[in-house]
Amino acid sequence: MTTMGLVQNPAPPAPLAPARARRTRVRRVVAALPIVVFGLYVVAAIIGPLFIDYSPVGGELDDRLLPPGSVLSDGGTALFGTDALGRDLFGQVVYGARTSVFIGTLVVLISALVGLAVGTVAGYRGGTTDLVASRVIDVLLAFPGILLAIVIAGVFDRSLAIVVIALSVTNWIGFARLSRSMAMSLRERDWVKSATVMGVRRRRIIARHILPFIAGPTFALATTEFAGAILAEASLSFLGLGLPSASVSWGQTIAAGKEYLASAWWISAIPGIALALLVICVGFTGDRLTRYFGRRR
Amino acid sequence: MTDAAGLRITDLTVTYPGPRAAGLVGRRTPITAVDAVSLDVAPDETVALVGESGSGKSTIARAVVGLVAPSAGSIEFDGASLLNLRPRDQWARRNIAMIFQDPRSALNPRLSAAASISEAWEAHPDVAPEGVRRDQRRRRAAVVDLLAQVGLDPDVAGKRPTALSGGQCQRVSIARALALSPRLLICDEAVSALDVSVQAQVLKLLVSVREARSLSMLFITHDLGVVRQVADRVAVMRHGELVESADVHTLFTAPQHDYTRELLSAAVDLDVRS
Repeated sequence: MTTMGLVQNPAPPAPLAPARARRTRVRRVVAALPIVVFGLYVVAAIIGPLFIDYSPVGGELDDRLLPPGSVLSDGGTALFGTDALGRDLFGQVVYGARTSVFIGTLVVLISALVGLAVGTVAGYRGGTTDLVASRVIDVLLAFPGILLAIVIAGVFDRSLAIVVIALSVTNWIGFARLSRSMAMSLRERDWVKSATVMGVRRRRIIARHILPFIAGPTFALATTEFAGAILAEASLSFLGLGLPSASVSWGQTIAAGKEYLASAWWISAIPGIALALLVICVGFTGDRLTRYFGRRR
Repeated sequence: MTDAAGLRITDLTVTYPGPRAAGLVGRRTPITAVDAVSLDVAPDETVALVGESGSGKSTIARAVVGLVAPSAGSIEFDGASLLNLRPRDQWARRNIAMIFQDPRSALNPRLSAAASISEAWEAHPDVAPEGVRRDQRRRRAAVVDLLAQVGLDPDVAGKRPTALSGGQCQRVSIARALALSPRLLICDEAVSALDVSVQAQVLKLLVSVREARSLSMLFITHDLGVVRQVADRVAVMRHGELVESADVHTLFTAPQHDYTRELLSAAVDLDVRS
């Protein structure tokens, strides 16, 4: 084979069989779908409200319980129908996306920062620091996260800050555990040891020789935790413990429709589908990122 | 040469917490990795520390550079203690550099060779060559100069360890170790992980660097062939204890301890077979 190749011109690579090429293309598109859908949600959350020229929490009682696609009393069309107070569901879904994405991002940012700081320092320094951090994590793990969030959100007045704090209180643990275990293994690497021997300061060792290796997996985890935070926020709002009633949240909209499930299913179903689709797509995106960073590690 | 010059290790004992004696809550039985070892490395001298795996050679090196804390004994360099150093006294260790066994893992895979080398100057600006902290051109010139001293081309400076061979990585490690102009170089199995042909080159480089810079060297190895080429004096370790210490000629011709004789005959057997 080799000699032939040297003498003759090498044969051009055989084109993939059309059916196989098509399958590969379909597989690629399917694999990219969750990321695209996730991206659409983010875009809708950021610029969607700019295109809606009415208040999502205001409505005419004449227009109550209209099914999706109905014409409103003012001549407009309610794409997703209206709820029991005549409020447009499309507006609520778009504004709800903004709430979810905003709270999810904030919770993940705070949790990731706290978790990374605690986990990396505990894992790198070991000893008493690690012991204390690990025990705190163990104790917090013993509480179901959502229960602790319900207690915190229930004790204080409803506000965005309280929701974010209530969800971040347990959310950072995942980041702390990940970064602690990675820092523990990284500190045993020879490049960290040689930096230590050279007298490089601890803070610099963490910033330069440890954190860059934790960043990728943390980003992957952040995606998964983002989905969890959105779900938890919706749960709190569903229970009436989340955002103030003047703001829009999918959880509140779903709760508002629960009495009309038999007659006006769309009130709960549409925001429910929006929520489920987002969580599923974020989950898939997180899995892909985890695999990607797992390969690179 | 004063009495206190060079490295002086006296009655060094290092213990690790061992497995628990009973179940989950039993007391841990400490494992003694190094047991009351005393060893000196005079200026310009190369001492080889030999022994089988687990004999405590590397633990001694780690204790000297501060990676493990000894449970007893003292370590001094030029008369100053290296134990329990406060952060501002860390300069005492600046005179000691270490080269690790695995050339690839000794360099951060995300940093270029130049970044790895110049990190030493950022940590110790007082001994860095003039202007390397601020002036990028000078830093590059200083890095290229160091790379040339270890036989590497200037283009290695911008490469990451993944783009370099094992031998090149070990040369970069040596360049990094030399960046702070140390006086004692500790080589922990520095050539064991390399190909035989590369081993000889790196060994030659270490010897020439030692001559050029009048370095003392603590050379940890299990390869007696290497010892013969580089060492002035040999210390033999077994089960954490120093069993024999003699100059290289005496040790190879008239070993005193049974274990040393065993080691030597094992090495001869291998030579004959190969």
